[in-house]
Amino acid sequence: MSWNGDEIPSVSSTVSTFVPADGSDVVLFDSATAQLHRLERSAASVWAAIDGRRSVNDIVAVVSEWHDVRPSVAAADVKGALDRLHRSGALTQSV
Amino acid sequence: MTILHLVGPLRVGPVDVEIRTNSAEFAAVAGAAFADLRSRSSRPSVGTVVFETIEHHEPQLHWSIRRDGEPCELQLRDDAVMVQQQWEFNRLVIENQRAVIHAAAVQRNGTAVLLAGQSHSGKTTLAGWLAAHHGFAYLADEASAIDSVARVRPYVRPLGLRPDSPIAHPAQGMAERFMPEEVLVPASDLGARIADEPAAAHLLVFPRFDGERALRVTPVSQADALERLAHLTPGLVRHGREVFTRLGGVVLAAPAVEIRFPHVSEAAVIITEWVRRP
Repeated sequence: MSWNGDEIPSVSSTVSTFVPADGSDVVLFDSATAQLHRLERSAASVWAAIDGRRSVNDIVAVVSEWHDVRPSVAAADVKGALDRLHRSGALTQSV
Repeated sequence: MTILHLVGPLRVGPVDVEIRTNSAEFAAVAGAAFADLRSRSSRPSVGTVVFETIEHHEPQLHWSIRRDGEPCELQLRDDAVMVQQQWEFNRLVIENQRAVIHAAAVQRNGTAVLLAGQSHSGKTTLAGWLAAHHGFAYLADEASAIDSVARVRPYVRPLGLRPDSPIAHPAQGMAERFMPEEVLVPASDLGARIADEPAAAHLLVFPRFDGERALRVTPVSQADALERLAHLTPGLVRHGREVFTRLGGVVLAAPAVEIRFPHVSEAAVIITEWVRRP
């Protein structure tokens, strides 16, 4: 799928998040599928920015600010991460 | 047939257990092997389960095990009946608690070392060695249940020791009929103290016995540790979020290392030194 800028990604209600204290990967567990998903640093940033209110454009802005890069640079990475998270079942989307 | 012999009451996780049998020999062997499970916990029991473990002579010698009247196994040989009885205990622990990790555990001063791994990784040997030689109290083997505040609950089942185990243990005697290979030995027979209260997870060890290679200690990241624990926790699929949260609690509370060891004594020294650190 592809995301447009106005869509609002939300975390699936069946997903739990483990945030490590040692800087290693964030780990997601989806109780609907009993699958674990590991998020490396950039995907974890995208995940942290998803709050059910921010649109894709908002997430791009937040992530680009966190990593001090231009939104045009961050946009492809953010949308790629959203695609992967959606395919894994961790995200739902609404407009 | 007449059931004349009783083993128990035993405490198996949160459950009280009795074994009723028609065999004096089995009662003696089971009573000795499960001696550390004799009920001593201050935690209230969630119920009592009765096993009937019966020796049959027709049409040929075999054994059956029933749990509260329901068949578990009906065609067991002499050399399988104790193994099956022990497995039924493990099953009770897993059924009655949610976050149960395939792990052994020992404790000292109220803090637990969790030894997690697949079969033949060396966790039982390491737990027995730490309890027999390094002053740790034996807490659990095979099925270590984690409570909501990252404590390991006692399940002091006997240790399964194979003939090549480096842990010296008493002669089998008449137990050989039932345990010709792996012997179930209560940790107290090794001189170990037996823990009867939960202990907070303090160190998480993934043991890896490898007789061909030198001792190596490798830190394990929290993400890796959680992923490994998840694969060793059958209740994760069934109970989902609650179990995942408990495993995460353990990982955040206890640093994790993989210890590859050619001899158990070397790994035990590493763990003992680690636990002594402030």
